[in-house]
Amino acid sequence: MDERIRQHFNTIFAEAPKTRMALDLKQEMTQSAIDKYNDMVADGYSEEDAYQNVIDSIGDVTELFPEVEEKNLFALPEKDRKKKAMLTACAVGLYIFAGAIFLASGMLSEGFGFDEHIVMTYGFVLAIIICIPPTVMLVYAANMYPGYTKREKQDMVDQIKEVNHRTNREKAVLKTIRSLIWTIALIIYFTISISTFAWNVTWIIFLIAACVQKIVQLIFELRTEEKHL
Amino acid sequence: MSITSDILRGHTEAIILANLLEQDSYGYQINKDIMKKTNNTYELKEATLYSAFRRLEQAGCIRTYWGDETVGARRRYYAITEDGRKAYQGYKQEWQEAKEIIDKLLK
Repeated sequence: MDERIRQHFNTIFAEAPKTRMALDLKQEMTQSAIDKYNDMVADGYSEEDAYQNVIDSIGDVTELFPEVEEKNLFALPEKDRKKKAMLTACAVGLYIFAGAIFLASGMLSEGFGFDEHIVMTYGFVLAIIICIPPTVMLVYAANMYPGYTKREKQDMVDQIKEVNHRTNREKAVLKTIRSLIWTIALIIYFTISISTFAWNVTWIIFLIAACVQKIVQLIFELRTEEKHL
Repeated sequence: MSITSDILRGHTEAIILANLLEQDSYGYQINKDIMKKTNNTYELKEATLYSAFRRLEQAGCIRTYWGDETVGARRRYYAITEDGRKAYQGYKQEWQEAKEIIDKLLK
């Protein structure tokens, strides 16, 4: 009888949008109907009567179809969309601000007669530091969307969806760490170079940064492998 | 009975929130509780119930999670949120006011 109920739901959901939400809903309603059927039979109703009652109490499922449409970019809840827009706008603003600081440092040095190179490098470092918050904000904004996959198949998709979701998160974290590593590398580079003036040697810092980044990536991959095992 | 059904249908969301105030629950259990409380005089159609779930979830009044059943298919559980509690208080108040007005008018 379970199969018969399932078949019925397959029929009435035939015209439904082919989305993950629709599939989940169909499963949930099917299970609920089966639970009800079992309860009625346990209460003493005949199989046929119970089945008929269960079918009759479903109602009109077509009113549910609009609500299970696939959520796309424009269907992000209003609150989140505004938040994401604000984050992006602030991030761009901060980048421009960083650029302005850099240029201002150049003009400042001329105005006050300081050594142009030193002041500009300080300005450059300051600008780089100012770039950290907007980068973090952009990564956060990009990660705000749910990790739904576009292709909807069967029940197995659930596991795959979870894995995708997790790897999206991990990728975002990795990206943030990577930009942090490079930003810090730049800062260290300039700080050391300014103090020692050994510009012909300090570029090696970037090679070190590349190594550090690879190490971090390796650690990440090992950790995620452990998690999946 | 059909007029009553129509009137009650508009309050489906409040009814569900009321049910979830004390504890989390799942679709069929909620419907069963409603039947029990009304001595089997009122039963929600599944479509109505699940439609209300979607709306409540969209509005942030409830959240859902999958249960970890050891036997049988896994179930989707619903829990009320803080926003949901506030919304419920609002509903209740509006219903009180509406009830008073109608009682006054329908002597």
